[in-house]
Amino acid sequence: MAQTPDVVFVDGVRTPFGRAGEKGQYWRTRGDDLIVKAMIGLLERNPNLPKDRVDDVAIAATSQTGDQGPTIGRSAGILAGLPLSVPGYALDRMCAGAMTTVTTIAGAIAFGAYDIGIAGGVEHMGHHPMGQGIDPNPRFVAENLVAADALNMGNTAERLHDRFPQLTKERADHYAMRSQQKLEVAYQAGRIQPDLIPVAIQSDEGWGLATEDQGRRPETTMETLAGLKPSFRPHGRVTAGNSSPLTDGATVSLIASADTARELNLGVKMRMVSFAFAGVEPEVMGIGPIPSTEKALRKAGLTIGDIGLFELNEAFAVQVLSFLDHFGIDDDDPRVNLWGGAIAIGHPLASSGVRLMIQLARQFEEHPEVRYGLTAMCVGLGQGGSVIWENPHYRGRSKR
Amino acid sequence: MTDFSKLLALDPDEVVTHSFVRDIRLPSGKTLALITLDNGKDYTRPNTLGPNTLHELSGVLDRLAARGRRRRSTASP
Ligand SMILES: CC(C)(COP(=O)(O)OP(=O)(O)OC[C@H]1O[C@@H](n2cnc3c(N)ncnc32)[C@H](O)[C@@H]1OP(=O)(O)O)[C@@H](O)C(=O)NCCC(=O)NCCS
Repeated sequence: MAQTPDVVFVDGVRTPFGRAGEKGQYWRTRGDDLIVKAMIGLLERNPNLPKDRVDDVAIAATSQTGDQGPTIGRSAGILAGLPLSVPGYALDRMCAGAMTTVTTIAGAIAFGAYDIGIAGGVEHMGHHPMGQGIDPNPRFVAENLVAADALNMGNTAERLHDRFPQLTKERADHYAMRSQQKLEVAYQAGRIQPDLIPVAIQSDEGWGLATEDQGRRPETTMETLAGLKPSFRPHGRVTAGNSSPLTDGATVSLIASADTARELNLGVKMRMVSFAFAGVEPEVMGIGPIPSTEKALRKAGLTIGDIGLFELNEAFAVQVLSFLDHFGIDDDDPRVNLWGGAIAIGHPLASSGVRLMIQLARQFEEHPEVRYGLTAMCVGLGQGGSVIWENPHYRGRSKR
Repeated sequence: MTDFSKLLALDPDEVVTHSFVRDIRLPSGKTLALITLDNGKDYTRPNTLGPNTLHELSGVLDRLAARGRRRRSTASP
């Protein structure tokens, strides 16, 4: 039997992320232009890639109307200058949209249908507020299938505090503060900037260039976090400080078979080992990455102890902590979100999955002693997604 | 000083393309002053360069050149 092709992550880039809303740097930028700019940046960074060799363009967006409208993978491909012969499609799995475009393109490559594809996501949460324009089926509530408030992600985070009393607000705040601090250190060291594609932005003061993530709050302290009001329920524990903020941004990656990457002389930043998605009760969607990670580990024949670097999407601090507790990992474990996470960087829903991969890929370069890494995230309506990656720079274990 | 007043009065209806300046922080840590030209209209009325437009741009270039000289003379080695 023919061997299944190895699937590799060739490269990934993203726009700087912006705060959603009128004060955000992208308020006057179209959602589709964010993904187009990112895609042009990716193609320019990989001049060896003949554009007509791209087999497909998969772009995720949770909201697929207006400026994230008509089949965004196709429309963005045209706008980014891909030949018209290259097809494209749009995809939605809420927060795990971009992650799912990567695994879907990877599946096509593993099957032998594709050699190379573009996968990414975009969410302009300023132009497309969460939950806008949706009409949930009344059976959800009438038949008690899903709690009425489970579509509000903040409430699901509060429920994690309820369910796991050891997950205190103090732990969540501490985790959130560390995320801000770690990102600042990474920025100072210039670790984040190399994968950002600047975007021209307009304001009353004229045109400018977005070059950095806008939502960072490096000055965050436990005291300021303790003073924030709960965002979702009276006496609640989830605040603007320990949640990911509403964000605009886009990410995009090049996924290929190992043979094609070699043939075209493209770099290889990571090799895909396994992936999995899983469902949980929508009311506690934040624990979703636990079963998806267990499944991905099982498929890979690995255990959690084999994972040397974790890139976990920080939808809410409490939700990351539930994952860490489950696997017996310390809140401050240096393997986890080395350069901070979504609480500090932002979480433009359907684009975040590839942001995790971009950071893991960079960390792999710096950590040849690490063989395997995990990207994982929770998803609204009770899901989790996990992808396990192998480090091509692995040089054997050394003492930490 | 050259007197451009006659030239500037030539077309009272000129759609002026303004010269905006914003500072951009470069990865090197240095600052780039980015000049953009924008007449405030959409793609159906492209930027055009009339006398008032060019006069404004000239002023902006002079200001930025002076600012650049000041920075260079104060910059530490
Ligand atoms: C939590 C949430 C409701 C907060 O929204 P918001 O109130 O508009 O948030 P803001 O950024 O305006 O912050 C509110 C306040 O907290 C303050 N704040 C936020 N983070 C802070 C920090 N780290 N340190 C100090 N102050 C902070 C802000 O300064 C602001 O204060 P102000 O009103 O005095 O200016 C919103 O970010 C949210 O819904 N997040 C979750 C998104 C989500 O569900 N994603 C999907 C996950 S599955």
